[in-house]
Amino acid sequence: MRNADMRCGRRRLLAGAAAALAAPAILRAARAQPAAIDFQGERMVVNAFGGSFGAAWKQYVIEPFQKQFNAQLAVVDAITGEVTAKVLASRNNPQLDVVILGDSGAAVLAQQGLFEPLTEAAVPNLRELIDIARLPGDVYAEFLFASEVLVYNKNQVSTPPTSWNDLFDPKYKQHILIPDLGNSVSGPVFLVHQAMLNGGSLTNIDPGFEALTRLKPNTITYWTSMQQFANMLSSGDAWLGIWSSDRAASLIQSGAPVALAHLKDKPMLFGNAIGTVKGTKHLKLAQAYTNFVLSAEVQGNVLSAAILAPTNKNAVLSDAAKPFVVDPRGAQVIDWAAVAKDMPSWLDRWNRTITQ
Amino acid sequence: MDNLTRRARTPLRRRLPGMALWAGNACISLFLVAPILIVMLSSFNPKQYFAFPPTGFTLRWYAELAANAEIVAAFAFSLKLAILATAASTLFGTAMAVAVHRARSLAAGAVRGAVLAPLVVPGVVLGIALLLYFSQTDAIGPFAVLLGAHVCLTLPFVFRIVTAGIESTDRSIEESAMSLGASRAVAVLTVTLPLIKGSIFAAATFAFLTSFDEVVVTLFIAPPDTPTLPVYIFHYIQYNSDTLVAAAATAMVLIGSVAAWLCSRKASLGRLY
Repeated sequence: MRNADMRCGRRRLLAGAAAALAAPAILRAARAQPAAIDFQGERMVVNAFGGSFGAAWKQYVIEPFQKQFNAQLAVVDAITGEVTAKVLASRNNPQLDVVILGDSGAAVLAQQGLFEPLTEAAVPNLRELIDIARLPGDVYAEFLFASEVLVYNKNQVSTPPTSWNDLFDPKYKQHILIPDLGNSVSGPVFLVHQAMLNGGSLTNIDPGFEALTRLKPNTITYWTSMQQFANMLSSGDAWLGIWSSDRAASLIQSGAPVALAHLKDKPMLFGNAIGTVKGTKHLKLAQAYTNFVLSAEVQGNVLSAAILAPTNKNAVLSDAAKPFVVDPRGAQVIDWAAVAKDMPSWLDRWNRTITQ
Repeated sequence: MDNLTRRARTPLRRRLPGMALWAGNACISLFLVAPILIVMLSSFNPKQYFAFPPTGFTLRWYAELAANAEIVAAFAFSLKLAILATAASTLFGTAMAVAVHRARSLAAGAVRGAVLAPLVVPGVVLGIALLLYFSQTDAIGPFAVLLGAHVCLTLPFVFRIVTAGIESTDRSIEESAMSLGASRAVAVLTVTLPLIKGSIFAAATFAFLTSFDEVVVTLFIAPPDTPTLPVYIFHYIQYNSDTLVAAAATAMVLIGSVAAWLCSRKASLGRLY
């Protein structure tokens, strides 16, 4: 009698415990997977980046979306510059329906009015994004953030730097890689950040240029391509460099003798945006895709593989990715629209004073 | 020592200019080839990140290339595109060269100018122009646009090489065939073409290499889902700087070398210019 009672009680306790443990997972699943609409094989064209990012994107975004929503996604490999050029050139008859690109390019396209704004009704996951990921009017949304990082060669640098001011130390003479202003996303980010650290701002850029001029004796070259940076730093030709967090993570994980410097000052962020091209013939599918990309589960999966910070508040990164990712909450993001306005005069000044 | 024995050996100071020229050529050749050699040697490096000199020897990266479905698909697509573009531009280019090379008329001059125009236009400009133009209409499929662009880019080379080949043949051979009763068409097909066979072969090789390696224009107009191999590699190195790329680059260099070797078997490479 007592055994039966205990068994009933235990069974109920176990059932209750199981339900309590399962509840968060069920809730997470219910929240993460939007109601899958059947698009009956409708086809649209999107883009993805190449290399390991593209592989992760195809695995965690393209294929699951095609299965869950019964749609076909034709994927074009294109990076920010190409996407911007393609959308600008084909504005009368868009060749791409949803684009992902660096927010520097997204700002240019938004200024030209080439995006179909997102709405909370059509893309409910917008509500789950952190503040800095949403823009006025929701012309596009940021779906990931990378940060500028200082990386160093472990074999050449015995005491790693702890602050951005360490860059000016004369012992690094001719051994620092600085991003070129015109040819990399990190370039303007570094310039603006240096301006801010020295009492200026995006609109008062003089302290930034002064800092870069002071940095000239320590500079080995102004890098313009990821491959160039990776080769120079891992071979030991350069000892330090300013790079972006995801490329640094990828190089470190491939075994190069390179490490991240942990600096006191918070770095600046730059993000990637997802936007629907104006004039697309597949608006509902585009909105479902955008919502899918902004969902917590998808962001957790694809950005753990790509090692970048998610913008959905509820996304969770893997333990392997966490050390390389800066928490975007409370960090500063660069205002690309303002940068785009000043860029021509900055480039001119850069070519005359810095790279001379 | 008598004079006869001394004259048999050219004195050193007379040989010096020849040796200096040879040494200069060797330095320049090494300078040109060194970057490619470094990439090829690095492709055997067991380390995952790109490094030179290699610390070991492994064929692992070539195995990974063969196992990577996307790279193999890109390679197959590049090959198919290059073969079709080569066939089309060799046919059109040879026909145009034969038709136009002796003519003195204004129309002939205009054709010559038009055929050589794609060489003058920067690739980026051509890519954007094609994108702008063909996005106005969906009538022409993306593969046709890509093929057309590649034919445009390879046609000048074919035209130039075949024209040079025709100019080196003796005009009177064709004329004597016609005077013996052959029509112009028969004379061209049975007399002129076999004479310039070497040039046509060289032109086809050059067209193939140009199309296979083409990246700038293709970046703008590649159809979705099917990048060409150079475009795939270009996008790949934005994110990964690893030895797999060195292996892919070596594979492309080997294909180019095989094509050039085949060409040199059938025609002297001196005919290229």
